[in-house]
Formats: sequence, structure tokens, C-alpha cells
Amino acid sequence: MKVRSVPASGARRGSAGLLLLALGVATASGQTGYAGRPLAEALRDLQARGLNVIFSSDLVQDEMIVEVEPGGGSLQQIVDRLLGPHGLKAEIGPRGTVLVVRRDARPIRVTMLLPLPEQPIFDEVEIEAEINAEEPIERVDFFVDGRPVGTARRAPWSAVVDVGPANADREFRALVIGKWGGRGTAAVVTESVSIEDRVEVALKQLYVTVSRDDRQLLDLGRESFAVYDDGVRQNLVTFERGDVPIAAVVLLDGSESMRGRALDAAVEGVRAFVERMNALDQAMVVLFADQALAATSFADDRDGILGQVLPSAAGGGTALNDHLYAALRLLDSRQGRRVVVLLSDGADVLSALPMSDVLWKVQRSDALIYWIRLERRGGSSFSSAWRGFEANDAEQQALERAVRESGGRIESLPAGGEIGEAFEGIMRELRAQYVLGYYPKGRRRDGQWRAVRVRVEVPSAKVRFRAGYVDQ
Amino acid sequence: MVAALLVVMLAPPATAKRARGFDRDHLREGYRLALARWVSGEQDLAVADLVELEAAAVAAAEKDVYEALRRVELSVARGLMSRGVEILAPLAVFHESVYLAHLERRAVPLALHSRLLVVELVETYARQGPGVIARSFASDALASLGGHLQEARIEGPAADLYSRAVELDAKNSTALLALAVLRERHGDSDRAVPHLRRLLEVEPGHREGALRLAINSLRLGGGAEGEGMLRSLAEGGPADWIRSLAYQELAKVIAAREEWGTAQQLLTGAVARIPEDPTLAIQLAYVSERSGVDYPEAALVAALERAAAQPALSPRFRYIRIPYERLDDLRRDLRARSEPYVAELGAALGIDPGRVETGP
Repeated sequence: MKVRSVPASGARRGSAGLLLLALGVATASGQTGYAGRPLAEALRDLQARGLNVIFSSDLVQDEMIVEVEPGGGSLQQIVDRLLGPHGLKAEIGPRGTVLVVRRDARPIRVTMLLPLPEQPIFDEVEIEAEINAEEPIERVDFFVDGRPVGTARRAPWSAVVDVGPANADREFRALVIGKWGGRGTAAVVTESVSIEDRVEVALKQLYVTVSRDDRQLLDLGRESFAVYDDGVRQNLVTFERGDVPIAAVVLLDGSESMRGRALDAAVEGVRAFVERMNALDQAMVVLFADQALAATSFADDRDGILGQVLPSAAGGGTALNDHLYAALRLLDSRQGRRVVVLLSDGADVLSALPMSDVLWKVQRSDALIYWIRLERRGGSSFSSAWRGFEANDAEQQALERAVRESGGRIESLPAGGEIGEAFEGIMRELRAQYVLGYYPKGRRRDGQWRAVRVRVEVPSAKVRFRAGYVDQ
Repeated sequence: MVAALLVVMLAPPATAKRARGFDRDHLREGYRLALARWVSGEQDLAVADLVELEAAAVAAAEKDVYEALRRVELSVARGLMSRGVEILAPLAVFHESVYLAHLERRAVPLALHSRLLVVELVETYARQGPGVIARSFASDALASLGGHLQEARIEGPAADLYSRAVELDAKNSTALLALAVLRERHGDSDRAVPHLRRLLEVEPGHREGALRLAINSLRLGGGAEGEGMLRSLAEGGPADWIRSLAYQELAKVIAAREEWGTAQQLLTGAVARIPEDPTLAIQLAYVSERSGVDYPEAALVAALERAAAQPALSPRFRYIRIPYERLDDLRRDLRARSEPYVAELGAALGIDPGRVETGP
């Protein structure tokens, strides 16, 4: 180890005032300052100006760069500003010497964000730590059951590790190493899933459609998305695109207004939808009027669904609300991405359930609702023995709201519009959706609404997603 | 005023000018022949004959043809009335059939002509016929016509006909019911309720009337009365659409108070009694979810599949419909009540009584 000490005449004065004077003279004499220069060079410059600086090359390494001009202040402050970002500090020694020493390493506080203690752990898992430190972070090493599994060198302090399929207790640990020598660690222990237990998997999945200029954007990465739940930025645990299996209920309005070619076209549209299903997708088709006219069972093979031929007869009134609720209820127990595709003019005149009841359900379901809205003959307002004009208008608006809040959309079709293309478009959209999973922070299970917001770092992009959910 | 006008119309049309191309004698003869076919039992052919005759007459003339047509036909009727005013009963039934035939051919002006003719005939019968019997017949005939208009969504004139039917016979329960249904359709509970109350005075056991009164009373803020009536209908009677609806609406009233457990219990009983109503099952699934009680998905699927396997009109659809069944009964009754006078009509036309068909 070399010790560099260059006594100079100015050092004898040994005061902050003289140092300021020296620096001031340097600046006035046309020096460009220290920012961007190696720290050792800056210290040598101070030495040349008469400051008796003593430092070790072990501490002041050649790659240390002065990032910010130290500015004015006391000697201690100026030198600390030069040394501080590198975990060093100045101490005034005997006879005015300035000693460069290592700063005391302060403990770094670490919190494990992911995985959550109650989270079932299988296969790929994201580990994430939150760090509170006064010093810059050198790196974070991650361990599972004491075995190193990854390192992060910049925020977010996270890593993804495949723990395999075994059902076991595991310890996830983060070890934080500061640039000034500080250390911190934290761990979380997850428990194996007891098969006798009813496990509530709190993973929240968001289905996000991103488009620009009416074209869906398909090549975005996880880092492009920021999810806020109840105003709090969330950590994404899973990130997938539209290959998540679909569980769909297709609701076909078979009321009097659909009689004839409209219903034939609708059935063809359903066929187009079903034929584009993937191997793990499931669907059920319900033809309804004032009550169900035909209903297939849930099936995961196209032939199984298409084989259950739908009758081509239409008639009766429309009980849309009742059947939309039933569809959402039937999806509750289904795995995968839950979807309702509704084909109707939306003129409910006969349901026992008001749309407000269906909206209650929508806010507690994660199903997307797509509404292929057929233009209604005779204008938008109507009355019936069950509801007057205003009440029916309100029902229509509530249905539109339910669709929007679900994260789905309304596709309006004029009379004679291409129903088949509408169904195909919905399937294409589902295939191109991003599926973002997170464990909501700070869940209260208080039955209150939690608004969800998704931001995408793409200029002019339109983003569609579920508006929120009821925390229960 | 109407009577005076009718007397003028039934009088020989001395001043009526003959329309261009309009052969009054040919029409008069053709009309009599059509009536003769009617009384002989060839009713479909008789209707077709008159439809063609009237259509040809209209096609042959340009101006005032409907008025001329009306005068000719009423003059024939007036002549036939010499055998007794009762012949107007089968005559009205005949013209109602002609009205429907014109409608089917989309000959709207001719249909209107037929409808107005029926009204004139039965109003004359009500005035000149045998007291209550004639007024009751005329009332039913007007209610029947009102039903046709309501079906065609010509609701203002339909309401006028029903109202006139009730004026002629205050106990005409079909007209009272139809009038209430028509008012309800426009959300006019205020005007529906008096008809329904009157209906229940006339027929205290009228369950549909009670159901409608309960629902409309609830809309007007009569919660206790409406709820009580619904409960009474739900607790007894056959497991039909009326009882289904009583359960549905009672459950809605209870659910509106957020008494989810009570609603859940009510609907559990309802589904057990009326398993074929899928709406009850859907309501039960909903209130169960609200009350935190598990409702099996399989039960919901079964309800949908059961409905699909046996498609029938849902109770809620039955409720908004025109009371077709009641009107059909009324029309059968009208025809039966006119039958005894078909022979009289035949005699007036000079047909051998042996050739007259007097019943089905």
C-alpha cells in the first residue's frame, strides 16, 4: 500500500478558510473543476494547492470518478462531498492534515417484497427486495434455501428463479452489499401447500390490450408496464401474452328480433369463434331469449361444442341481465382467462335481475365481457310492461358500464353487419392480450372498490384493462 | 249523435253519387252472395269472396270509394234487419273475419273499412238489440277488435275500443284486463290500477288480475298491499306462471331491502315447487351469493338445460303479452252466441233453412 502525502505551504495554515481561498483561486485561474475527473486526481490537485491530504490507494481507487462539483462550504463539507459518494470521508488529523478514511458502514435495511409468505411456490418465482440505504448499492445476491440463485446490480432488485415443482417449505433471502461496505439482509419463508387446506391464491390477473393506431402492439416486454392497484405500484409476478387458456361463455340473443338470417349469421359467428379455440380453451354456448333456448355444456374440443347443434328458431323477449349473471356465475369455477361474449341488441325487457345486480357481480368477477351490439330497429329507447323509457335507458347505460369495467369492449354492428368477423376479431384480440399477474399490496378484504390502472411506456398507445375490483 | 248518424247511414243512399267504375248493384249482389256462403257454412270461401269483391270495387274507383262501399253494405244490412236486429250479431262476426283477411293481405284501408263497419253494426245492435244480452255481445265484439288492434300495436284506438267495451258492459273482465295490460305497457300504473280493482270486484278470484294489481301497487308505492298480495299468490294456487311471477317479484321486493337470507329462503322454496322456471334458479343463485350461501353451479346449469329442453313462454314474457287466451275464449264465445241467429240471417237472405249451417 502506498501512502501519498504531499505537504505544502498552504497546509500549514490548516484552515477551511484558506482551503476555500485556494479553491477559489483555482476556479478564478481557469480550472475546469473536478467533476468527471478521477477522485485521486482531484485529491492530488488539492495537495498541489497546499492541502495536506493523506490517502491510501487502497481506499481511493483509480476508477473512482468525481461525479458532482463539491461547491462551497467548510473544508470538511467540501472534502466529504468529494469523498462521500465513494464511501469515504475526511478526518482532520494532527497539524492540519486531512486524512481520507472509510466511512462507517451503516446497516442497510432490506424488506422482502416477493414472494409473499402465503404465496404457493412452484416453478418460476420472482424474488424482489426493497432497499433503504444511505449508500449506493453494489449488488443484491439472492438465495433460496442458502443456495445462490441470482444477482441484481441495479433496481428493481429482483430475480426470477425456477424452484421446480416440489411442494416444500423454502427460505428466500436477499443479501445487499453497499458500495461503502454496508451490508443488509432479509428473508421470507414460504410454506408448503397442505392439500387439506383450502388455499386462496390471491394472484390478481389483469388482461391488458395495448394498441396504437387501431393495431394491437404485440412485442412489449414486462418492463413496459406499470400496474397501480388502489394507487400503489405493484410488482408483476407473472407476465404472459395471449396464450393463457380461455374459458368462454358465448351468449347468443335468440329473441324475436333475431329471427331469420340474423340468428343464422350469429350461429356462424359462434362457429368461427369456436374453430379458433386452442387446445386448452373451453367454451359453452347459450342461446337465450326470455329464457334459455339451447345450452351446450362446457367443452374443450371444437367438435364437442359444434356437435351440439343450436336450433335456428328464434322468438320471445330478451332476458339479457339474467343470462349475463348466469354466465359470470358459471365462469367462477373455471380456470384460465374468463370471457363472456354477448351477441345482442341489448334491449333487456324481461330479466328478473336489474343490471345493477349484474354490475355487482361484474365487480367481483375477473371475467372480460365483449358485447357485439346489434343495432336495434326502431331507435334506442323503448318501454315495456316491466320498465319505462328512462329505466330501460338506465339499464342500457349500466350494461355499457359493466362491459367497460370488465376490461372488455363493445363492438357495434349495423344491421347486416359481419357478425362472423366480429367474433373472429374478439378471438384475435384475446390471443394478443398481455396477462399481468401480481399480488396486490395492502389488501384489506373490506368489500371496498380498488381501482386499477395500467400505464404503458409507449407513446400514443391506447391501453384497455379492467377498471378495478371489489376487495373481498 | 252516433245513433242519428247510423240511422242516416242505414237509410237508402238517395244522394250518394255513384263512384266512377263502381257498380253498386254488382257489389250489393256480391255481398249478399258472400253472406249466403257464410250462413251455408262455407265461411272461409265467404270471407275470400267479400275480400275480392271489395278489393275489386276499390280498384275500380278513385274517389269516395270507401264511403260508397260502406253505404252499400250498410244498406244491405238494414234490409236484412227486417227479420230481426239479432242478425247483426253474425254479421259482425263475419266482418271481423273479413277485417283479418284484409289485414293479412296488407290491404290496410279495406281493413279499416271492415273494422269501422263492425263497430257500426255492434253499436246498432247494442242500441236496438235485447238489452243486456245485446250490450254484452257488442262489448265483447269491441274488445275482440281492440285485441286485434293491440296486437298490431295500434294502441290508441285499441284503448278506445276497450274503454267503450267497458262502458257497454262494466263486467267485461277481458276488456278490463286488456285495458290494464295496455296501460301497463306504457308504464301508466295510475290508469291501470282502477281497471284492475274493477276486475277483481267482478271476478274476485282472478289471479292474473291480482298479480297485476300487486305489481302496479308496488310501483305506485303501495308496498304493504302489493307485498301482501304477492305473498298470498306465492303461497297457494297451482304452480303456474302467475305463481312463478309472484315468487320472482316478492323476492325482488325482499332483496331490495337487502334481506338476502329471507330472499334466499323464499326462492329455495320456490325452486322446489316450480323447478321448471329457470329465472327462479338464477335469482336464487344471485341472492345466495349475496347472502354468502353456496349455490351449486350444477343446479344453475340444470335449470338452463331444463329450460332449453322444454321451451315454453317464460312467466315474464306471459306477463307483457296481450291476453291472447282470454281474447280467444271471448271470440269463441262471441261466435257461439251469434250462431243462433245465423238461421235468421239465412232466412233474411232467402236461403232455405235446411241449407243453413248453424254450428260447428
